[in-house]
Amino acid sequence: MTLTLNINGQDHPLDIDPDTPLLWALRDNLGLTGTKYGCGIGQCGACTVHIDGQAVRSCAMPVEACAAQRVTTIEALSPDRSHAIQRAWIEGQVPQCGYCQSGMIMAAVALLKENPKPSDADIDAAITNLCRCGTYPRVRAAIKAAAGIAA
Amino acid sequence: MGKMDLSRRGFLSLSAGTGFTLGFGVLPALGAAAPGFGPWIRIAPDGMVTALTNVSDIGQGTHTGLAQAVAEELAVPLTSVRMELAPVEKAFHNKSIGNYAVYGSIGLRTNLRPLRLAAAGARQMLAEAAAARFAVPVDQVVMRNGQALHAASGRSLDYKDLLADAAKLSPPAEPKLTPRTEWKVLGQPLLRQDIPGKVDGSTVYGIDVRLPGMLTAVVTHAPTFGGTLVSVDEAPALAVRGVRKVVRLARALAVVGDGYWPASKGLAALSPQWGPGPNAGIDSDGLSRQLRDAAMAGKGYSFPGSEMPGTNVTATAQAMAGAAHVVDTLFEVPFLAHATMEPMHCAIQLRADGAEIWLSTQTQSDTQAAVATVLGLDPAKVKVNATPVGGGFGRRLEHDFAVQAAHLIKALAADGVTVPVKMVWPRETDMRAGYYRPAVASRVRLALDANGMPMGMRCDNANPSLLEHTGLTISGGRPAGDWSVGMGIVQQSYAIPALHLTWTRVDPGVPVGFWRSVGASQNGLFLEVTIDQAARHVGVDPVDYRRRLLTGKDRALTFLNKLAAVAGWGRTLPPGHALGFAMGEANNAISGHVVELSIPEPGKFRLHRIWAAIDPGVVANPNAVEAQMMGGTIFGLSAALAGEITLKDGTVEQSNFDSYPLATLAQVPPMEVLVIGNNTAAGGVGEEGVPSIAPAIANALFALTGKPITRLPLTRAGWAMV
Repeated sequence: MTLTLNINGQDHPLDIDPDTPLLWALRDNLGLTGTKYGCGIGQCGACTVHIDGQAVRSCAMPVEACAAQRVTTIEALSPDRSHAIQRAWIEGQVPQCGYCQSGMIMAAVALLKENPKPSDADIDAAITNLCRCGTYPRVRAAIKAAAGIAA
Repeated sequence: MGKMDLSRRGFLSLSAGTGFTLGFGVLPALGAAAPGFGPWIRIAPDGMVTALTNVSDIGQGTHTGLAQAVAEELAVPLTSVRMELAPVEKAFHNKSIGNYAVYGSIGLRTNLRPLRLAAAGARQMLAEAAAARFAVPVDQVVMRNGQALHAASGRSLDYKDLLADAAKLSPPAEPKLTPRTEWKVLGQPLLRQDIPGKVDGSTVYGIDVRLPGMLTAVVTHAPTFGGTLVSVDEAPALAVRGVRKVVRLARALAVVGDGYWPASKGLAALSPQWGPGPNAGIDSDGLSRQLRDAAMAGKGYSFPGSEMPGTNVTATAQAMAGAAHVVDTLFEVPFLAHATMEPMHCAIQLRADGAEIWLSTQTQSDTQAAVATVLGLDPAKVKVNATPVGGGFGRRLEHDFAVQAAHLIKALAADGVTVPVKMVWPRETDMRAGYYRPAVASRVRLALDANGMPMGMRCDNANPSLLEHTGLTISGGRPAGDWSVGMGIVQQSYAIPALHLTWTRVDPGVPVGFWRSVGASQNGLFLEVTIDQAARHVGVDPVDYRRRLLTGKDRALTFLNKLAAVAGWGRTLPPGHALGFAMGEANNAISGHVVELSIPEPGKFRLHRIWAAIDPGVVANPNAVEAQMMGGTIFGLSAALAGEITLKDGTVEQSNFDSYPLATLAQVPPMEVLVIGNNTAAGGVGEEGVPSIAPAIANALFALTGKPITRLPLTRAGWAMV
């Protein structure tokens, strides 16, 4: 069936099964490979995107459930890596292998949008994405830097 | 770009007017152990420098560190240098390991000095060319920022305008390296070159590769190791929209579709019948008993001194017999999965005269050879495209998944499929595919004299042999004894006058392999928990006890003192708190941890703070070294807290992150990292954070309870972190 998804501000009519997780529509149908597959069960967060501004794990979100909504992926966070979180991530040298970082960044952006000055406990609660390289201390520091909170 | 010329003198080649390339294959100073670089540095007509390397950057920032070295020696800005993986060809293999791979923290250790020499040689040749143009002695030419300067006359020339002249000169026999005191780029915490592409989704990992007309294959394996596919009704998969083929492999089943989702849906629709194979009886409880019994029996292969430095069987036996006290502990640790965030995958395309693959790998040449064998090709006909890697940790030293992709494309080709295929393992397939850190039991006996000082140590190990299972080409072949059981326990600086290690091979048929820090991942616990027990027996503070064992070992003692100082060892702690200390040596680096924890209620501990320290010798980029220590610490923490792969009826019980939990951001307490660089030989950093975090926690718990931790994960020892 044809289904129209609004991705990064553009409508994309897709001939796709409605149960297809948004992750695979992004990666395979639209070539937006910045959003990663890690677990397929909503555990790791590597596939995190924004749906109407909320952080959502796209591997567990069927496309039929987001047809009327606005999806934003890592590719559209800024045109030039200028988002405060992206700048903090570069300045703080957060990524190692980098594979989980798209999801980590999308989760962090959603957190700051909702809570511009998060406490450590707020960060603990919001950033449940898994990183095998162990970037967590720098993730925390970069979120605080982007929020203008002294470390 | 200069054409690569591997034959001509090995050092320099020129393609007229297009820049030049430098290598140092003939430099006698490098000796036989140095990597056999051919033309490793190219300078383009616009002045951009491309340096080749034969070690992948799997997330450590190795390539930026190497680029800093090239920029330093060549006297150009870091932004003018880019690193590129050398072609996967024999001439570019890493001579120090005999193939093209990255493991054992060898990245900087094998590539730093050769690249510095190549860049320094290039700088000298450019300086000579400039001196000739200025008509001044070469010692009046200063090289800076991509320019040759003559201060007295105020003249300057860009490197790019000197390339043709420099290429006509002979390379210096012994290029002069920039002394450490003059480093401006190397050793600085500069921003990593790969990070911008990792914050906007533009880095293309192997799993992201898209080729024209490409199909996606999703794979599941027989539920038991060695199990076989007996039968499958393909119809339910073929009925799924977007599914093209079902492919039966020897021990696996693949569904090929237009994308991951249709293929995965097709696979889920199938009900394959599997033959159990020879290993269907494996059960973790039974295996645990077998390992422990074998370690207690201690009748395995006895390592000679030529294989385990420090071995003295007679003196160890005498020490045991004559000891005033023997600290005698039976340890056990489980299988562990690497669980890289990017699952195993391989894209493959057959060509008229060969094949091409795209994948995240740590082992380019072994992969190339194995794929070539499956396809009946000369290895040179298999083009390997090694992409940025979504985590390695040793799992990508195996090439089982690439071999599977080769079998898959062969079967598809026989079926008339000509398009490229990207094979992807779902997380569940990846988690259950083996090559785990071996499960190990080890009885460690440390004989103490009347003063509490060690007289000798005997370690009786029982575990499957990773050297037997791994697909990695091991330099020196596969010895009778698995040397990984000595990693992190031999060649330590502690004054232990005699050693005796034995190894009993207990192999249930579960593939095992290299897991970040390898044998040190378990031996760090075994040795350091033993040392703390010895200190307690003697009634000495565990750090003071280690000071006694490190008398005269300046580098290790300095390290210990700096780590103890930064953690405030010996200070008054809040009631109920304790510190735990552990350290270790590997890869010409020393690393260690101190943790502060408390026990709010029985069986539960709270980790308040972690101090980590590393002395890797040369610190190419302190910021990247700090990141590696943090990352290694958290990798080791995941294993210590709850990491284990268990089997029941031959089947791995874990399948995804819900059953194989990783440490989370919320679980990681504040961490400080001390980076010490105190000599000039580059050591490892990638593996060094792993071994000592578990024993530091264990030793803090020991300090509070008096009961040594002898088993991991801590959940198996009755402890949960809260």
